[in-house]
Amino acid sequence: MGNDNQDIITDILKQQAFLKKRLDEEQLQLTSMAKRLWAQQEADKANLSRELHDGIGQLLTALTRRLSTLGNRDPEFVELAEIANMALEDVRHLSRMMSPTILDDLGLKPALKWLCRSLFEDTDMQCDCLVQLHNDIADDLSTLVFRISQEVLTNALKHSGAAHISLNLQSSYNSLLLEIRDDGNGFDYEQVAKGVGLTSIADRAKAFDAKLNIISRPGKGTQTRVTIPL
Amino acid sequence: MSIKIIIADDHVIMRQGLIQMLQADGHFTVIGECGDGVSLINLVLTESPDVVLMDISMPEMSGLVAIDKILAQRPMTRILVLSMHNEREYMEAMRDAGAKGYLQKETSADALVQAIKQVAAGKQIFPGLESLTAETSPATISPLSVLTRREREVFFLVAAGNTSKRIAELLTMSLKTAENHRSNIYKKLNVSSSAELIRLAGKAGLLE
Repeated sequence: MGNDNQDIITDILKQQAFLKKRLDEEQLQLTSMAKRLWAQQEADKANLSRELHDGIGQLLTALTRRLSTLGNRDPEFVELAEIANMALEDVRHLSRMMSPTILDDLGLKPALKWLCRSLFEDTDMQCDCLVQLHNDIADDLSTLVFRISQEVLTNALKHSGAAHISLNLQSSYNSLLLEIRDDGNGFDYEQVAKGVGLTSIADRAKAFDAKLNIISRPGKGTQTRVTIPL
Repeated sequence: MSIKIIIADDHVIMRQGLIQMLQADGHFTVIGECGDGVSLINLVLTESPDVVLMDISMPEMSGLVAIDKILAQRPMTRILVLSMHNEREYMEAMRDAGAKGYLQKETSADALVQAIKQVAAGKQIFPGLESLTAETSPATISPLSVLTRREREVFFLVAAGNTSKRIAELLTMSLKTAENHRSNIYKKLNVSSSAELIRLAGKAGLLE
């Protein structure tokens, strides 16, 4: 009888180990699929961004130039040229936010500085950006850090009512630490339904084994911390 | 005397427009043109231009990396970047990389011709950047003065393109120690990658 029980337990343990292995494998497959999906999304956004910039952007450039030239004859065209130029600036901004070519062209540090500056320069909020990287960061991790920063900063811009925001990115030999703080309204993390943006970054962070930690209380500002293993 | 120019831009129409404009002025000879970073480096090394007129976003190798490689091998090269990007971060990055000027592609033909002549004469052209608070240029301090003897050894090995693993082997130290030295050097010199360190070493004349 004792031996029978032993056998049954051994069997169950074997089955458990087998199921655990399958679960791990499937988890790994899902993660790799999610990463491929995001890479595809980034590529699609890059295409659309290029179409916007090179297509509509070039047309608006031509229009602005023509109207400026006509402005020499009739002052009313100067005003039209200004409107066309505003449309051009908007298209450019949209195109850049959709796919930050600066990340490919110059790397993570200039890209984050640009993000902080361009999101907040026409607002009353002050955004400080401190980036200290001691290693070269892989492209997919750079994109991850950039997209998380973009989502968190955009949320702060729309909802926080903060006077001051800071972004701090540091690297050590085995991890990256991103910290974004604001001194705004804050929120009750349990009460607020997570938007698509926040859920999507949480999923992305998970796929890279990153830890995402948001601390916020009404009236006490918000602090977002992300630790990414290298 | 005619100013010798090489043009690098992946848009053929852009290149043709520039060539026509420069020929019309009469002070320039376009001695080479290409559409990617790798060809540009080869052209610069074989043709010895007075001024390189180049775009940033190009296939094969980005403009920033190409500038690094060109200046590492031919430090006197005068580079004028012509870009569609109007963000200040681009201009700062190109100035820090060692380019002599940065203009937007929308710049008028007259202004562009003037700028090329000024760059050829050794001047720097970064419109709008002078008025902005510039970060302390890393080139103004000698990088070696702040490093310990061991860190200097590591510095030169990083500048020569060695990985931390290779450095650990060469200096018979653990990988961890090599990484630590590297990280301390980066901190002291306020750089964030080996590319930035090499650029800084190049500017300080330490790559010879």
